[in-house]
Amino acid sequence: MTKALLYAAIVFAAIFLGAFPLLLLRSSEGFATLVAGVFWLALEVGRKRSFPTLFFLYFIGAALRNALNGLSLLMIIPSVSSALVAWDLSRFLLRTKGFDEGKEVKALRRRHCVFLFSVVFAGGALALIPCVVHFAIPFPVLFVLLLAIPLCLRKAVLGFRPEREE
Amino acid sequence: MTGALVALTGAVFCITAAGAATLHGDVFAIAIPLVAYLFAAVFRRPERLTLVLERSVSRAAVVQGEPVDCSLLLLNRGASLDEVAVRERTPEGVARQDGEFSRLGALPEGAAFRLEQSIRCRRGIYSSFETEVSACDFAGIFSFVETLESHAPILVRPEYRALRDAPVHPSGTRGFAGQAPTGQDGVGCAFLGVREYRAGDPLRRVNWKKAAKDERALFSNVFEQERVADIGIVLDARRCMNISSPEDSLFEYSVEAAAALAERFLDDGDRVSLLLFGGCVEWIFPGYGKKHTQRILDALAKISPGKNYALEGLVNLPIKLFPAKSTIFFISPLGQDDLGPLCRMRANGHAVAAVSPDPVKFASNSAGDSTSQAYRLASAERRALLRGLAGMGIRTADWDVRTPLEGALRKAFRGKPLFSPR
Repeated sequence: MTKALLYAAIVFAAIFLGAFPLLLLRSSEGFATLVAGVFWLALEVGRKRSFPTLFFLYFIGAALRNALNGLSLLMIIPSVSSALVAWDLSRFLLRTKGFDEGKEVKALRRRHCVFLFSVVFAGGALALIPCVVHFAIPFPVLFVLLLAIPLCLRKAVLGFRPEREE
Repeated sequence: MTGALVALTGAVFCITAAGAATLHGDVFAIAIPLVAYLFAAVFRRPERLTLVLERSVSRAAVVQGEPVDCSLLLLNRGASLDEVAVRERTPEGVARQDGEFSRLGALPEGAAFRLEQSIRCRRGIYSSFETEVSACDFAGIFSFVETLESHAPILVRPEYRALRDAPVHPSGTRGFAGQAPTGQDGVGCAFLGVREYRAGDPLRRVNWKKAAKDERALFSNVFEQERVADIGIVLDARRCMNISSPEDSLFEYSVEAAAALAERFLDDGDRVSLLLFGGCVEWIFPGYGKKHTQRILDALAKISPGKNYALEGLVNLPIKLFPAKSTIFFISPLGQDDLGPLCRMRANGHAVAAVSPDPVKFASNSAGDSTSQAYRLASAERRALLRGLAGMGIRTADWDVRTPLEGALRKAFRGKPLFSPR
C-alpha cells in the first residue's frame, strides 16, 4: 500500500512538473523532469539505493522554475505536495527496511500515511488560497511577515506542545 | 541536525528568497506545503526519551548450547512517540536462535514493547545487554538515538562429555569410605588376596576352597579398603598457552577436560579442589558433593585466558594450597618451561598427572597443514617434552581434541594408579 502510494506520488509529481510544462509552456526542462521522475521511479521499484532528497530538491527547483515561467498554481501546488509525499514515503520505507512485517509495522504505516496526507492536504489547501483570494502585500510588510512567521511558528510550537511535568 | 531537516529548511529558504527577489506571489505559495510539513514535524518531535528497559531470562545458569528464553520490556514513561525502533545488540558469544530482536512501531504514553527471544550462548558470564532505541517524529526529521543497558546475568557453564570411569586410582587417600582403592586390607568390595585365618575373622570371609586344599590351616579372603581421595585440578589459563582460531579455542578443550574430571571424581565421592592459574589465581577449596560440582562449574564458566605479569610462570603456582599427598591433574597444552615446576610438584609428594590438549595438532588442523617441516619439528619437540615428563614420573594424556577425552585418558593411564599404593 505504502509503496503503491509512493509510486503514484512520483508519477503524479513527474507528470505535473514535467509533462504539463512540456505541453503547455513548450519548456524543454519539462522533459528533463520527466526523465528524473522515471529514474526515481525505477530506483524505487528496483529497491536499489535511491536518493530521495536529491530528487525532491530537483522537483522543488522545477516547481520554482515553472512558477516563474507562469504555470498555474493549481498545477504547481499538487505537484509540490506529491513530491513532498514521495520524498517522505521514500524515507519512511528506508527507515522501516529490515524490520519484520508485523502487526505494529502495518499499523505504523497506516498511521503514518493518514498523518502525512492530512498535513500535506492542509498545506496544499493553504497554499491554494491565493488562487481564490487575491491580495497584494507591499514589500516592507512582506519582509516583516517573513521575519515574524518563523517566530510565530516557534512560539506556536512551544505553546501547543503538551509538556510533561517532571 | 539531520540531512532531511537541512534539505527542507534550505528549500523553504531558497523559495522564500526567490519569491522576495522576484516579487512573485506564486513562488511564496510553493513554500507553504513545505512549511506546514516542517511545522507538523516540529510539533510531533520527541522532546526527550523517558524509556525504561527491563530484561528477564528464563534461566540464570545454563550449560553451553542450551537455549535461554529472554523477555525484553521497553516501557514509555514519557510523551507519546510517533516512531520507535528497537534493535537488540547481541554481545560476542551470543547467537540468536529465535524470536524478535528488533521492533518498529508507535509507542504511546505508558505503552510498552515486549520482545520475546531465544538465544544460545558460549561458555562465560553475560551480565549486561545493550539495546539501541531510536525515536523520531512521523517525518523522521528530528530523531533521538540512545543505547540502553539491561541487566539479567546469564551464567553459561561449559559443555563436556561425562567420563564413565575415573581415569586413575588416586594414591593418597583420606579416612572416609570412598571409591579409591588404598591397597590396604579392610572393609571393601575389591578382592585383594588371601591370608591365614586369624581369630575374630567372620566365617563368611573364610576361603573354603583354599582351606580344603590345606588340612592344617584356614584362610580368609582379604578385601581392599576403598577411601576417598584428594584430587587437585590445575587449569592453565595463561594467555601465552592458548591457541585460538576464528571458530575455536584450545582453552575451551582444557576447560572441558577440567569439568569432566571434576565431575567424575566428585561423583565417586572424592574431595576435589580447583586452581585456576591465568590472569589471576583463583582457588576453589576442596569439597564434596553436587553443590561443589556446581561451584567448580561456575568457576569454569567465568574463566578466560589472561596474562599476569607478576605470576607469569608456573614457578609461582601455589602448590601448597593442595592438601598433602593429593593427586594433581595439571591441564595445560604444556610448554618447555613447565617441566621444572611440574617436577617440583612431584618432589613435594603429590601424584601428578597431566592432561594436555595437543596444541600442535590443533594448530595444524586449523591451518590445514600436517605435512610441512614446521609441523614435523613442532611434533618432535612436543614428543620430546612428553618424554621428559614421563622420565620424571608424570604420566601425560596427550589429547588430540578431535577425539573424545575418555579415549586419551584411558590410553595414558589405563586405570592404573599413578603411584604404587603405599
